[in-house]
Amino acid sequence: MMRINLKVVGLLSLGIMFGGIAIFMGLGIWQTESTKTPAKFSTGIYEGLANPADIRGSYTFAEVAEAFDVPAEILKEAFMIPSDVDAETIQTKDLEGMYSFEDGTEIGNGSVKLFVALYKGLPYALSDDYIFDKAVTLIKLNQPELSPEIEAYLVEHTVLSEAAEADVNVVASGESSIGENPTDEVSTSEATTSEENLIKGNTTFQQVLDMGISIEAVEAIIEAELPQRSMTVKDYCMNENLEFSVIKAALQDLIE
Amino acid sequence: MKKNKRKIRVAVQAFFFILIAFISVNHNLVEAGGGIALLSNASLHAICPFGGVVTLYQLFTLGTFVQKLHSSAVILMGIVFFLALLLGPVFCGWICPFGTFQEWIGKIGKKIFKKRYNNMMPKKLDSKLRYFRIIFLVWVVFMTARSGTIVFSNIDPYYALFNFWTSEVAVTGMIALFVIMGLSLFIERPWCKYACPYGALLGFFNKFNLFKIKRNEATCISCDLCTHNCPMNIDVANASEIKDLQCIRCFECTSENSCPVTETVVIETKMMGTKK
Repeated sequence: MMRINLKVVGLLSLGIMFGGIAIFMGLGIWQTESTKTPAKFSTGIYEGLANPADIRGSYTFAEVAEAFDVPAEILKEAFMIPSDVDAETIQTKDLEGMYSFEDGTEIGNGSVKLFVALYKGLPYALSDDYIFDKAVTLIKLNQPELSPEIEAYLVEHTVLSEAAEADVNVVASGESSIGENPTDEVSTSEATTSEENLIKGNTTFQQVLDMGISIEAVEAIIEAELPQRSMTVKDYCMNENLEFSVIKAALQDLIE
Repeated sequence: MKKNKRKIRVAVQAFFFILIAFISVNHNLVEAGGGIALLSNASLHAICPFGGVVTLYQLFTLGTFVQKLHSSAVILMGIVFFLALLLGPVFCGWICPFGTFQEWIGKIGKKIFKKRYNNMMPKKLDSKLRYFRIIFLVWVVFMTARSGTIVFSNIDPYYALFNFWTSEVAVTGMIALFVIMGLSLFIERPWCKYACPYGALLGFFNKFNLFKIKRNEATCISCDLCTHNCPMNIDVANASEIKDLQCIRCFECTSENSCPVTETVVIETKMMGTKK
């Protein structure tokens, strides 16, 4: 028989914990955050190009710039971020709390997706995203020939830069705007009260059902049986070659 | 000599507590644009081995992780399971920062209540309540598998403890934290005993792990110090081998700590080495 003492227990505890982590780090399997690589178009003439619909709120402007080959300075100009602010400190979701409009219009991650798609001439399902007039100017400089559909959409979804009151302190400090929103205090780790019924990239089918949409309604939108409820809507769309922004918009309409 | 032996576990506990605290603070600093480059800035979810447990179903069925969880959680789950196969739930007794936190508060309770500390709960009620954590484990795993979200996070006092200064903590989590802190003044490790789903799972390793706690009946003088000092109220003095599901392998009962007779309560295995 073999006996060990407390020193051995201590050494084993430390050694196995950190040794194990080191091994998996060495194997390249250890990951503590999502990869910031957007999904790519899988078919058509854009196959292999990054899909703007997959831009997530956690992407920084620098990451969007790199993934889509859009200069960070252009992104900052489009969303009225001062040029001296580091693009690596601004996440696209930060835009949501930066600008306030009297009519409740929002500039957020969806606006970034829209801008990048139109700026690069990539396909994107138009829903209800708004962008600044400055962004529209930049788009037209890079893509002079926009389709009549897009032109008409932009007329309805352009916000005048002068109308926006930016939270300059948030922009200048590079802080996330989440902390500025009073409804965020002591909130769930999942979402604030105002975001609970918002369908996002990581929203699962169970969460959609919890928002009050019936199974039948979901199945009518996806035109198939409800999949495993823990699956995200976005993953389902990618697997079934459906456009996530279209499904998302349809589900969101049912909630509102 | 025995005080020095106790310091080994205290040092390991303090190390992991401080490490997790630093990582949690660094995660928030990085999100705000700062942070310490050499230190990990992982979220608490990413470095919690219980996250690996709750994401297993989704990993096997969909090939993806539950929201906010990553491969690190699954890897840590595996490492802790390996450690538990060798030594039992030593993660609970030596590593878990929330167990450590409860023990530190318990020291205040010990000073106030002295011998009554950790002996105030009626035994019948206590023995029934000990099963709750298994039910809780099943519920958490089921609900997470069903929803694809980390439902436990909203009531996890450990998450609340290391994020209380952020806007990421649910009110329910803070309430759970304060309740456990209050109970810790009267009961040692109340969360571990009655509610911890991860402890419930790791407890099963006590039945078959390699190195067991054994009491040598020939040299035992029946002083009951091992039982008296057990934080989980296990009757060590009347067992030849500790296989109790509640044992956290703190080894307070051993001859290096509480037991006054050398080589009487020991950590050993029959499977390796030569016979003595």
